[in-house]
Amino acid sequence: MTDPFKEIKIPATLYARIEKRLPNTDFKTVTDYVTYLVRKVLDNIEQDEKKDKKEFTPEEEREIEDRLRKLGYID
Amino acid sequence: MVEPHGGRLVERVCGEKTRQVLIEQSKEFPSLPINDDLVKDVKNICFGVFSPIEGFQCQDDFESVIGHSRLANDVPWTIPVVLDVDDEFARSVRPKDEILLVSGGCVPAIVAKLAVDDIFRYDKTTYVKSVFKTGDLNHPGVKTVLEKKPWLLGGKLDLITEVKTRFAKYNLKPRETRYLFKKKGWKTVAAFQTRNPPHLGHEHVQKSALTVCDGLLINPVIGKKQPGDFTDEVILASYEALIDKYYVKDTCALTTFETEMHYAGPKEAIHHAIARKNLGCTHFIVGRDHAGVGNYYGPFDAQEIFKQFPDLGITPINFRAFYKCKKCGGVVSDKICPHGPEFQVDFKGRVVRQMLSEGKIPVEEMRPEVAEAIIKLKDNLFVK
Repeated sequence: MTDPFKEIKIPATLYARIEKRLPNTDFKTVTDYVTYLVRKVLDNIEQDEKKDKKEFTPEEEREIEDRLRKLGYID
Repeated sequence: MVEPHGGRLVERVCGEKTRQVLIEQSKEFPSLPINDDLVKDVKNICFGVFSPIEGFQCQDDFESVIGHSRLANDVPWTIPVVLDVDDEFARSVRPKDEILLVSGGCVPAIVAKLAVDDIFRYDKTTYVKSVFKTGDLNHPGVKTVLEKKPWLLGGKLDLITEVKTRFAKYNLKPRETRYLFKKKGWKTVAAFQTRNPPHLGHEHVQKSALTVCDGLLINPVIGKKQPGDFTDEVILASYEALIDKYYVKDTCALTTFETEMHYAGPKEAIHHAIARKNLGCTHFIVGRDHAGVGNYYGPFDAQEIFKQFPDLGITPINFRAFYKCKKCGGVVSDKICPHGPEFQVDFKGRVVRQMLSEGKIPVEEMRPEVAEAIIKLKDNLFVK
């Protein structure tokens, strides 16, 4: 099985800043903290990229609306 | 609208022509009978409730979920979704085979086609320790896993027949709930998961969430439960009564989440939140001991675990235990009530259950209309 982790390099000064903050967080290691932050930032970026995407075609809208009306969810 | 989990709403349903061909040629495929819980998993996968997974999990996803609470592509996922088979069946299939999954219920149906990608053994001890944080056989979720067969089949599914349940009216698919929210103009929607009829504390939690969200989705779990739990009929009838009499029109919808309860506490809270995100909810209400059983989890573990998933994409709304305060004169929590325990009246589930089973209305704990709707079902209150 391939190694599920890869190494990356960050500036030593940034590493020191993160390490200094560790005692004030729930994270045990700098790796855990950086992983958390990168996931959070990436997720925000990905959400922003997708937010204007159209979800339904007009035909799908009609079909779903008919069913929801029959089931009493919309008037 | 909130993005589906993993970025794409899965929909794997055979078109009518393919469906007919598969049914006509069904004898040419190996078939595997599956139980009602697996039928529900198949539906949840194929209609996108479990997006982004497209089938039963292969070894890479399974091991990643067990090891890191994420799919192999780093998307958060905490509960394995797997198909277990015995030695004989495992030996009879190869990767790239296609097999038909057949419901073993009273009306047999060809439920889905599975394109087998992976056949693998797994370590049940690691599985239960990761998901349930215990190997105790008295834990119902642990017991279910330890009783599973020794092999897992992974691969993509295509739904052939949608097996309807008794509550099909309430079983909206993610595309339908998403459209419903859009139609109602709800930009933010709080999901409320439940296994019980509502008492005044539940109503308070839901209405508190409604003060910060545009809409509320009450989404009870329908499926196999433990003996002594309230029946699905009771849960739905009681919520119909509550919504009809006590909720502002067009602020609330009642649909079901048909799935097996695993009683995995914190990890199941994440799983439940993911399913509600796929339904289009932006917020998920997490109460005390969510999806817990016995004393296996701390009362707020299910709230704490959300901190580990900054990229979950649905916001938890955490609530503490609620009670009535004689001094405040209403339902409160320790966060908003300064008075001592001498003024506190807890919601006593045991008392409520006893009174309802005797046909009495627990006026201190429950709306009368809700209690009456439950009492009408007197021969079918609890799972036997």
